[in-house]
Amino acid sequence: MKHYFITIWASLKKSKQTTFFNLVGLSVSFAAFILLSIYLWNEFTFDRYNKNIDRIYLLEMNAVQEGENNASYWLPNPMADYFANNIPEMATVCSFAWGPQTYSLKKNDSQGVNISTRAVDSTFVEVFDLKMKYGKRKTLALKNTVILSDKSAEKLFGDVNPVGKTIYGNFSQPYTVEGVFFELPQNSRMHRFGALCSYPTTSWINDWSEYSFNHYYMLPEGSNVEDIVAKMNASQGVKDWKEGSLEDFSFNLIPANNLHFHKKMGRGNLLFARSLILVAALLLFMAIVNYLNFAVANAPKLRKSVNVRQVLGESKARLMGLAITESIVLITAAFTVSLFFVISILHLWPNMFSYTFILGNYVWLIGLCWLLFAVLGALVSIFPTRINISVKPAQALAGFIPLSPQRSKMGKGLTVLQFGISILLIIGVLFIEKQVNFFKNYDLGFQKENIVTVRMPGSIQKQEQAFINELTKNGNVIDYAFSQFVPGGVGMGWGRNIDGKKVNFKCWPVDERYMKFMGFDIVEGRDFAENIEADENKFIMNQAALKEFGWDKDYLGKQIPGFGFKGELVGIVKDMKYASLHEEVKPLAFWLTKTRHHQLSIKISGQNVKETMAHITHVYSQFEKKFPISYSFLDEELDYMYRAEEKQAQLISIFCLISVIISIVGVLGLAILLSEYRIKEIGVRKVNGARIIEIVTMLNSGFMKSVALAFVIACPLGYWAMNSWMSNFAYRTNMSWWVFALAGFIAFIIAVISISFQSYKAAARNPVEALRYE
Amino acid sequence: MISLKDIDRYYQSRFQRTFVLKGVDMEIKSGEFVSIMGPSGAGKSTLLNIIGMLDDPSAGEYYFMDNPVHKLKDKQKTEYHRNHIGFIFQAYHLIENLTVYENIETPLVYKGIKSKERKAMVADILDRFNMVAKKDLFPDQLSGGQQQLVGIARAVIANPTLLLADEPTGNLHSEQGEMIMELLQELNKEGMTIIQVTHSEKNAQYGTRIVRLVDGLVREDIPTNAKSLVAE
Repeated sequence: MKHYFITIWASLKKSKQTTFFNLVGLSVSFAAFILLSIYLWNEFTFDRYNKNIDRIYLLEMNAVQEGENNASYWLPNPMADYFANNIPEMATVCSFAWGPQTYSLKKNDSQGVNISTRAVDSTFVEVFDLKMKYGKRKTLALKNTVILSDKSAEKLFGDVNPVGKTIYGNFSQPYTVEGVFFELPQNSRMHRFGALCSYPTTSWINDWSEYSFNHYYMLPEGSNVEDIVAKMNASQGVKDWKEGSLEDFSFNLIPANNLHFHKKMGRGNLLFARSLILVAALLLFMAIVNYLNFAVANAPKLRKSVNVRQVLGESKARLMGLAITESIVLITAAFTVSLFFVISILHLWPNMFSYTFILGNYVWLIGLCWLLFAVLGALVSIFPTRINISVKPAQALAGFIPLSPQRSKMGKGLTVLQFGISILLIIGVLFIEKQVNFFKNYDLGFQKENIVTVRMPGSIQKQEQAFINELTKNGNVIDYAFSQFVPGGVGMGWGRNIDGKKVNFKCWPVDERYMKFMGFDIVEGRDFAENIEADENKFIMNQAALKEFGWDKDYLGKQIPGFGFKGELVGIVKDMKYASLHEEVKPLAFWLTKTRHHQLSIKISGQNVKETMAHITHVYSQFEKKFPISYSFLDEELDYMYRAEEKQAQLISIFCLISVIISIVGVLGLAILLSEYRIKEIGVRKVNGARIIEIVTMLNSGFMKSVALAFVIACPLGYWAMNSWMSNFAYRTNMSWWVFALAGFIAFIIAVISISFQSYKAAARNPVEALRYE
Repeated sequence: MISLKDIDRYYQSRFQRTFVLKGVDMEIKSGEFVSIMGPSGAGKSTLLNIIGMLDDPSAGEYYFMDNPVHKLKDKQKTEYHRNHIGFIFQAYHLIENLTVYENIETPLVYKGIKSKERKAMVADILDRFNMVAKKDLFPDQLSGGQQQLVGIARAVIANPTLLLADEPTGNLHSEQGEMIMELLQELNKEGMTIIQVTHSEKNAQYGTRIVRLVDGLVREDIPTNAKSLVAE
C-alpha cells in the first residue's frame, strides 16, 4: 500500500506543471459547482419542508377585461368560505390576512420590534408544518393569540419561555403568546414571517369587497385538481356572482409547491434557475474535459513506466487501480482547495445569492458533489490508462512514441469549445451591460437628475403652504411640485367607459405645478391653469391613451369620469417613459387635484447636496415628529428598476471569469504539453535558422486559429441568445457588431498573453538539449 | 575559416569543475573534411556543438571566418545558422508532421527566400539526390538511409560553407552508410567544408584529416593518409 502512494506521488511530481494547472482549473470549477448546487438545491426544494405541499393549492381568480386576463390572489373572505362549504374536496381552507408589523411589550411603548406577521386560520397547523419549541402545535384557535418564531421570541423576550405573556401589536392590540416555533427554512415562502397571529374576528372580514386575503386549500390525497376546478366554476355561487358583474371571470387552483417560480406570487425566476443548471454543468464539463485532456496528453510520458511495470509483472487491474487512486487523490486535493474558495467567497460576498448559506447545513450535498467529482475523475483516468496498457510493452520500451494526430485534434476541439463558451459569456456580459446602460441613459421625456422625492405624511399635507415656505428659504431648493406618484411608481389603474369604449389607463393625480415641474411636453390643448381652483378635476392624457381610445378629432373637451365627478380633457401630453422601459408606454391620464399630495418632488441645484438634504430633513422634522423622513433621488429610483438585469450581469460576469480561468488553464496546459512534444522540432527549426520570435509565432498560431474558430462559432450563437434575451424589452439597444468584435478581441488577447510566455520558454531553450540523441 | 584558441568547456559544480574539453587549439581551413574521433565521453559532440554555435565555450576564443564568435549575440549566431552552417544528426531529426519536400524547404523559409525560388531549389536537390518520387512522403514512411538523405538535403540546400555531421551513419547499416559517406565526400570535393564526428575508422577515411580526442584533450591531429600513433 505504501508503495502505491509512493508511485502516485512520484507520478504527480513528474508532471508538476500539469498537476498545478489541473488543480487550479478543477478547484475553480468545483467551487462554482458547489455554490451553484447549494443555491439551486434551495431554489428547487422551495417550500418542500412542508410534507403536505403537493396537496396545497392557492385560489386564483381570473378576470377577463378587454381580452386581457387579470389574475388576482388577494380575494375576499366569503368567497373562500363559499367553496369550502359547497365543494367537499375543498373543505380544508387556510386563509391568510395581514397582521401587525410591530410589537411592543407594553401598551403605547416608545419602542417596538419589527416582526412581519400574517394572520392565519386555525387550520394553519393542520395544513402547514411547524416545529414547536414551546407550546403545542394546535394553537391560534383563540381570539388575539400569536405564535412567534424562535428568532422573534428572542428579540422580544430573550431566552425566556414567553408562553402566556402578552405583547401589543402596533403598540395597541394585545396578543397572548401561545407558543414558539422554530424559524421556517429560508427557502420557504413563510420564512419572512416572524410571527403568526389568529385570524381577525372583526366584521369587515365578511365584506365581499375586501380583496385582502390569500386562500390555501388542502385537497384530499389523490384528488383530481382539474375536476375540482371545473366544479368550482360550475357552482351556483359563481353563476350568481357573474350575474351581478360586468366582467367575465373564472376560478383556478394553482399548486403551492411551485409558487416560488410563479410570475406574480413568487420571487424566483425559473428560467434563470434553469440557465444556472446549464452554467454549472458547463463549468464542470469544461474542467473535466481539461482533466481528460491533461490525462491523455500525459499518457505517452507515463507509458514507459507503465510498461516497465507490466514487464515486471504488475497486473492490469492493479495498474487501473493505481490510475483511479491517483485521480481520486488529485480530485480530492482540488476539492479541498475549492472548499477554501467557497468559504472565502461566502465570506467576501455573503449577499451574492438570495440565501445565507451555512455550509454546515449542506455537508451531505457537498459530499455528493465530491462523489460526483471523484466518479467523473475516475472515469476520465481510466481512459488514458487503457491506451497505455493496450500498447505492446516491447513497442513502448523501444523508444519514443510520437504524439498522435488525433490527440492534437482533440486538443484543438477542446480549445475551440472552451474559448467558444468564454466568448459567448463575454458577449452576454457586454450586451447585458449595454442594455442596462441604454435603459439608464434613455431619453425619458423628462429630466430625472437632481430631483428628490419626499413622502408626505398627512400632517404636512394639511399645512402644505407653510411647509413649502420654510423649504424654499434655502437657495439650493429650486422648484417643487406635489403628486400622488412619481415616475417608476404610477400605480392607480382606471378602467373607464367613455363614449362606448372602455379603456384601462393609469391615473396620475398631480397638482397644478407638476407638469411644468417635470417638463412634460404638451402637444395639444393646454397645461393646467396656475390657479388650481379653475381647473380642478380636469385631465390631460398622453398620446398612447388617445390611440387606445381611437380618438382622432374633437377629443379636447371630452368628459372623463373620475370618482363621482366628471372632468374635462384639456390637453394632450407627449408620451413620456413614466414606467420601466421593459414595457411600452401605457395609456395615462393626469388628474389635477388638491388631494392626494402624497409625494413632494423637489428640484435641487445639485450643489452642496448634503447641506440641501440636511435642510429638507430639518424642515420636515419640524412639521412631522412621529414618522421620520423618507426620501429618494428620482434617478436612482428609476435605475433601481433595472437591478434584475444588473444582478444577472453580475452573476454572469462571475461565471464568465471562471470560464475564462478554465479556458486559460486548458490552453496553457495544452501549450506546455505541445511544446514538450514539439521540443525536437523546435530544436531542428532553430539549427536551421529560425529565430525565437518565429518559433513563438509558430507555436501560437495553432491556438490563435482555434480561438478564431471559436469566435466564428460563438458569434451567431451569441447573436441568437442576446436577440431572444432582448426581445423581452420594449426598448432595446442595438446589436452592435463592435460588441462581438470586442468579445473576440478580449478572448484573443487573453489567449495570446497566457500562451506566449510558455511558447517563449520553449523557443528560447538551447536546441542542443532537445537534439541530444537518446 | 575556423580558429579555436585554448577552448575549455566545463561544468561547474559546487566543489569542482568537470572538464569536457580542455585547451583545445585547432585551425580548420576552407575545403577541409575533418573527422573528429575518440571514445564515448571524449567531448566530440561538445566540440562539434561549439563549432556549430549551439553551445558556448566556458573559456577561450573562437573565430569563424575571422569573426569572434565568443562575442556574438544570439541573433547574429542565428544569421550564421541561416547562411553558413548546415547540420546533420545521427537521429536525422526530421520534423515528423512535415513532408520530405517541406522538411527540405524549412531552412530556405527562414532565410527569407521567395516561394518560387524555393521551389526551384528544392526541386534541384530532390533531383540530385534521386528523391523526386518521395517528396510527398512523411519521414516515418522512409528507410533510415533515405531519412538521412533528406537530412543532408536539408542541411546543404541553403548552400552553407560549413557542414557539421554528428555521427551521420550511426543509425544506418553499412551499405546505406557508404552511400551517405560517398555523398559527403562529393560535397566536400565541390568545395564544402565538412566536420564529422564518427566512431568508424572506415568513415573517417572519407575525410582529409582526423582529430582524435581523449578526455577532452586533442591527442592527435593528422592528415587521413598519415599513420596514426594512437589508434588501436
